[in-house]
Amino acid sequence: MQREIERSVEFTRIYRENAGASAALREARCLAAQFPGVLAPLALSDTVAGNRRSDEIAYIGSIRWMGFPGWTPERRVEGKQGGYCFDFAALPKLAETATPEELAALSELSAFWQKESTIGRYQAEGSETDRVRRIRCAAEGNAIGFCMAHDFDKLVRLGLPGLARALTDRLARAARESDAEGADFCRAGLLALDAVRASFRWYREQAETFAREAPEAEQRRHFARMAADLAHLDRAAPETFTQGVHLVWLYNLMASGRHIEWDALDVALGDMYARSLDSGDLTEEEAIAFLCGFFRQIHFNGDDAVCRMTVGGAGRRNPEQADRFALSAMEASRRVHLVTPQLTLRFHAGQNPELLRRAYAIIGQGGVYPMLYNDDVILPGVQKSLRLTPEESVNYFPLGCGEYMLAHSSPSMLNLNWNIPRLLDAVLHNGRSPDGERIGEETGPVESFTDFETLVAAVIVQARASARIGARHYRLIRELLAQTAPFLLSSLLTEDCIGRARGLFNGGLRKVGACLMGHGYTNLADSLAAIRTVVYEQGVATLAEVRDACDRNFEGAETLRRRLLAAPKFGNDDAAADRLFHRLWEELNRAAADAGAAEGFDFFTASCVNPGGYWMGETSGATPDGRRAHEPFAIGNAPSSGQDRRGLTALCNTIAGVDAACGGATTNFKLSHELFSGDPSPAEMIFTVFFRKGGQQATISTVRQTDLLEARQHPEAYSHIIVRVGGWCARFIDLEPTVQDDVIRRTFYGG
Amino acid sequence: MLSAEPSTADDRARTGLVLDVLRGSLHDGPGIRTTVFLKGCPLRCVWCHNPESQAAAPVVSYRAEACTGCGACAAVCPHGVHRVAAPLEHTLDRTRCTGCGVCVAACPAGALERKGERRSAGAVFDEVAADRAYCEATGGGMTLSGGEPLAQPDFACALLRLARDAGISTAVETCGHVSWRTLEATLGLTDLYLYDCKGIDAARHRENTGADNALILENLEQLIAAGARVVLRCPLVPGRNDAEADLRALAAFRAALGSRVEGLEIMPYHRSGNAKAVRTGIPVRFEHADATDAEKARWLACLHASGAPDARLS
Repeated sequence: MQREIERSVEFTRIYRENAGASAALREARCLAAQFPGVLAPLALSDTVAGNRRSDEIAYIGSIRWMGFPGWTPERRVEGKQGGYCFDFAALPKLAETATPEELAALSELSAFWQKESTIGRYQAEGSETDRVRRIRCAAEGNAIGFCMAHDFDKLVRLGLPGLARALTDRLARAARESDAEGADFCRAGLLALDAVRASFRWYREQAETFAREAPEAEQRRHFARMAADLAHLDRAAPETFTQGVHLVWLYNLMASGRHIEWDALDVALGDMYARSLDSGDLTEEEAIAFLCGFFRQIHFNGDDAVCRMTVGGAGRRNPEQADRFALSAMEASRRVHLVTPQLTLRFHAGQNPELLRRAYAIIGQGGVYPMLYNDDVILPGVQKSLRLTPEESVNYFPLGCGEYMLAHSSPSMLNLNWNIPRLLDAVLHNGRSPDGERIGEETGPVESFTDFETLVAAVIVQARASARIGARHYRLIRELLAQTAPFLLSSLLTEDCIGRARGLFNGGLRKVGACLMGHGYTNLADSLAAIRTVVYEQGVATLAEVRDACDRNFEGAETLRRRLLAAPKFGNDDAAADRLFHRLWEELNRAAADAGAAEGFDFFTASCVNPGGYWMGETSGATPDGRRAHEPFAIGNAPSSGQDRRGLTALCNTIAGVDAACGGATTNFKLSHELFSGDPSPAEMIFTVFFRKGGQQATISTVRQTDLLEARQHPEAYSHIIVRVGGWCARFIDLEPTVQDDVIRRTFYGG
Repeated sequence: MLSAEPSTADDRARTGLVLDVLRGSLHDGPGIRTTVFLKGCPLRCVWCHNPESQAAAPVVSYRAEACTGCGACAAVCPHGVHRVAAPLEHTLDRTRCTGCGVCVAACPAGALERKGERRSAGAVFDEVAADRAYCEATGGGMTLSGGEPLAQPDFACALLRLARDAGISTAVETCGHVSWRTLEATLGLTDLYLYDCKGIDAARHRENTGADNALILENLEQLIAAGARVVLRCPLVPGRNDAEADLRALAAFRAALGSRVEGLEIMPYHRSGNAKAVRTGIPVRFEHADATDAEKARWLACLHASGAPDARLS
């Protein structure tokens, strides 16, 4: 029988065998069953020990992209599962080449996991989770995975034996205190660690084989060292840099699905990095090469949209050593030039300025990363939005999409999307969608909004109602996950699970929070701004006419659409438009915070997500900011494409005005290479001012020739590019096509 | 000679005809600058890349490729400028056009635009001031350009005074073909002049720009004598002012000025102005391919060898 089918059959057998055991013990035994089975054998090209197979059918983990039949009515997309996962979408393909025996097995597996998988339970007919998930409103989702940013500093300090000792000690205490649940958790944790150590041994044996048999001397040396490193890790905490990397890599690979996150790796590995270099164990070039291999394996094993890695920032215990690692990590990222890991540099006023300077230089050369996060603005911000003390706030972990989670303390729940423009849809149709479906509160017919303020108030009512549904939904998901498993491998590196002897969702998490992933804030703000101008100030159209025009996708209403488009827009340093955005940003986040408080969360925020606006816009109708149906929403904290017309400095002013106390947001900036010439470059100076003015975050990329070519096809997305033409500047998209051709040819002369 | 009068409420209220305000510019002087483009120019250079800036009055820009032939403009135009005989047959009789802009508002397709809007110096300056921190960080400021910014001297000086009072550095891009009194009034208000030099030979200058260069060169001398900081900006146009003799004369001219000017920047010809001329109903008087890299290299080599070693591409 095909290997993976056989493994999944055995996995399922173990699961069933442990039906009567505690959730913790059942998970531990399933972990023992699936590792090293779901790991891929060592390859000669591997720098670090460990890769995952990509063909798992049944497994236990925190998150996995897998299909589920009938997950959403319209989208042919894979869903995020967490807990006991089953790859239903893989079955048809497998069935094509399956033997009759295998087909029978798959059939039985499928039937079993339809009910038993965590997503199956989530969607079980008649369950409360199913009922709440079916409520149509602006805050919807059908996913149950989550991810954690694990405490690697703890892992490398304790090592595997140290973690085991911690659990053993905690088990003894639980026994003394007659805490049966706690004792069960600790025993299960020890079994889970055994599975981890078994996998390390599995790779060590293969490394020893390669050390003897690899064709090239260099390879044999590499694997001899790997074997020695893995052997060391079995009996002690890591001491060298390569030992540290092997430990964090394989553990995280096993503990995470395809969302392989890396908080503060510079802190965890900085001391060992410095020691290894200073003792002559490794040259810097060797260390960077090792990091390059590590990064490639992250990329190979993770999903493109995730896998973040942060370096830098306030509150690190060992900034000098951490900085050395951080600089090398930036160099490795520059060299491998892949979409993941998504390297982020956190910075603050007291940090070694070399890090930020190096970051700008890399970005200016066309490097994809790092993304820049301004701790001086963000820390006070998350203290408010996540309700943290200053000491706690330094552990914020930016997910790169806009959400901030709390490393080692609270998961990213990733489950619900908040379609912000939908709130206005609901108001304009008295609680319904344009198709007549109930999607919100009945806030009254459009005729009742005799002034602009009553309209805005109604939007906020919709926001608060959908936020409450979202919060309830999250609570139910957490309760489901609590019944499912303690998620042992994550629990061991999350506070305060060992201390409390409880799994993540069973009381172990120090902070229980969540984040509604919001899309289209700009479109809502711009829509309201346009309505204010056209309906309430100019009086050239009624609210009903605007609504009807949008419902018809502006058919026969092009003049009205142009008027709406011409109204003030976010992104132009325009006080009227920007203030409205800020107000909505604050109100929507307050709606989330209040809803979360009502459900007993420690925090509940809304993020301004990047890049979700593409697909959510695709499935959304026209909006009163002049946007046509199915066009993307604004991506992240940004103007709608084509609506920033005042250049980079105006855009920076607008973006810097967004309050970090309300939630997380990211902004993409595409700059010309020219802005990076000189030392310091204009780009560096502009962004220094931007951050000083309150900018939270910037994801900067330099414009390439291909961007200009694309601008020919999609000018609306490139309105901010200003190019040098002869002896002056012009907006690229304003130029005649023949001129654009010339600029494309000329501007990037020599590459 | 410092112009010491502070700016006044009158300065903020004074209006002028503005073509554009471009923020975040890297090429209109040092650092990051906001460039204010004013309408109107005393010259009529055949190679002008902003022909819509030449006339003092607003002009309507019509993009045929965006026109849907709906006739909404014709229906509202008070002067009978627009004729839409059939879809895709839209003609404009510009002799009738007053630039009132009613057609612009009526066009549902965005095919019409009015070039030149009346704005107060205060409102324009507020836009400049919004980027003050970026200017400070980069050694930038405000640049006046156009058209010819000194064709609206009171408005230009109002803007310069507002900038000066706010501590924002100023630059003026000028063709120099204005009265000395006009130029003199800007002396205490302008940190840097980007001074056009379109050729040394008087006859050819008249052919190319519609005026001879006596006043321009005199003004330059006086500016320099007054201690102003000047950078020469020289559009070079294939076949019109880039012959060997022209270049040597230009280099010699620059050499004679020595350290009294801070440099010479070449602005290679580009024909993008012609499309704008078509859109604004201005006759196209000069057509040529863009300056090639080889031509630019030749220009630089000749200038460098003839007494202007600091000549560079702008």
